[in-house]
Amino acid sequence: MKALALLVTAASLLFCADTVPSEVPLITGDFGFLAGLQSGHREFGPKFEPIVLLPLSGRLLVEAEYSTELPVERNNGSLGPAVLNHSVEYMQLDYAATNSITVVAGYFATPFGIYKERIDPLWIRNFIDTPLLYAVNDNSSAGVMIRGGLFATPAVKLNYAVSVSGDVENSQFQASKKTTERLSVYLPGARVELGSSFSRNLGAGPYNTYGFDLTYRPKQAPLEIRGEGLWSGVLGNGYWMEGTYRFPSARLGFLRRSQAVLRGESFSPAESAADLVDGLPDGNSKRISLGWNYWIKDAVRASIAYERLWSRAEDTNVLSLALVYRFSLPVGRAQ
Amino acid sequence: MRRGLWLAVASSLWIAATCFARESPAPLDGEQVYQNNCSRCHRAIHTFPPRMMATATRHMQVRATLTRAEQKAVLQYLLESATKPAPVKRDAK
Repeated sequence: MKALALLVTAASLLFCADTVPSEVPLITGDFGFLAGLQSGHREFGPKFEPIVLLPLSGRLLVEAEYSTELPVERNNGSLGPAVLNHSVEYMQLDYAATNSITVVAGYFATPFGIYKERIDPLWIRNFIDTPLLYAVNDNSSAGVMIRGGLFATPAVKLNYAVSVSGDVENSQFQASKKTTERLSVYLPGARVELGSSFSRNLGAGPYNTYGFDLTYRPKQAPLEIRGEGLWSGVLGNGYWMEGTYRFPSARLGFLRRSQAVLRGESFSPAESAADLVDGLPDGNSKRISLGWNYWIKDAVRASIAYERLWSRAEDTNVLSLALVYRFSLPVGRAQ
Repeated sequence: MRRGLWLAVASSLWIAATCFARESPAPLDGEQVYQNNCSRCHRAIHTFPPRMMATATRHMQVRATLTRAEQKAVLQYLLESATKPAPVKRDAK
């Protein structure tokens, strides 16, 4: 495993031909203030997710994201505790080997499903709260990944990602021994993507997790539908499906800068799931969420969402609020 | 572990062979590529200075599994979309 990682990295450096960077290093990311309100319990606090992008050459890129948040809880009138959560999301070296192959080495988001890799950034996600099943996918891998896209025909694109990870466990990096693959078919003409994911956890008690995902964005309407499902005999089964609607032709400026969002989801954990993954619901749960996003400025978004959760423990209503600012700063000459 | 590793290596070799056999069709329409891929998550067209856009599109090439040809087409489209000399402007989603 380590030998393979070293080999790929060495080969990347050796064959790195074009060494004239036309890019500038960037510090980008988002900063948000989040609040969740429910009966007898409130949680609020800031979240900061800086990303560093460091191009080393025309083919080599180092990228890293650090996530830190300080949620403060208020339960039945008493404040606290406030615990600072922080971790490295990814710290990876990308080598664009060919038009369709990128080799990634280091610590990277596990390529399972679409949420972790594409939708997770605070600035991108439609709801501040992640789907119920996300705890299964919210992890990173330490090892090597090969990924890319290729056109089977001009109307059909295949996307792929294959990764191998080893065990890493410390305060900033956590990865388990596993192999993960995602394959998807994207039809640009119809704007439909269908994906499937597979992960085999190779640690104690090996188990498999299967996933599928769908993204559909019709050209006829400012609508987007996306969702994920997963099945695992050890972790449980679940899905989420999300729809968004924008108003680009509305007369009111407020509407033109707004987006309505709706999500339905369900998760049924297996008995052993809580021993393997933190953050999963402790019983069968269903949730429906309705939200509204409004871009105050191009780089500032306000969000409000109402969630109704039906779970084995209790049924709850949650109102979530967020203000998110997206920043991007060059380190050097930007022009 | 060993079985999984071999499976991953074999899959990668198969994919690599397929990729070398067929490159993406050219030329690509940058606006079309942007609309089909980037606008799935990004609400507005970004207007960064050129070197910033070059870095950002490299980042997104990996994240969104764009081909290098698609990344270059998007970059070209974004450069052309920046109608005036751009100050360092903050991003849109």
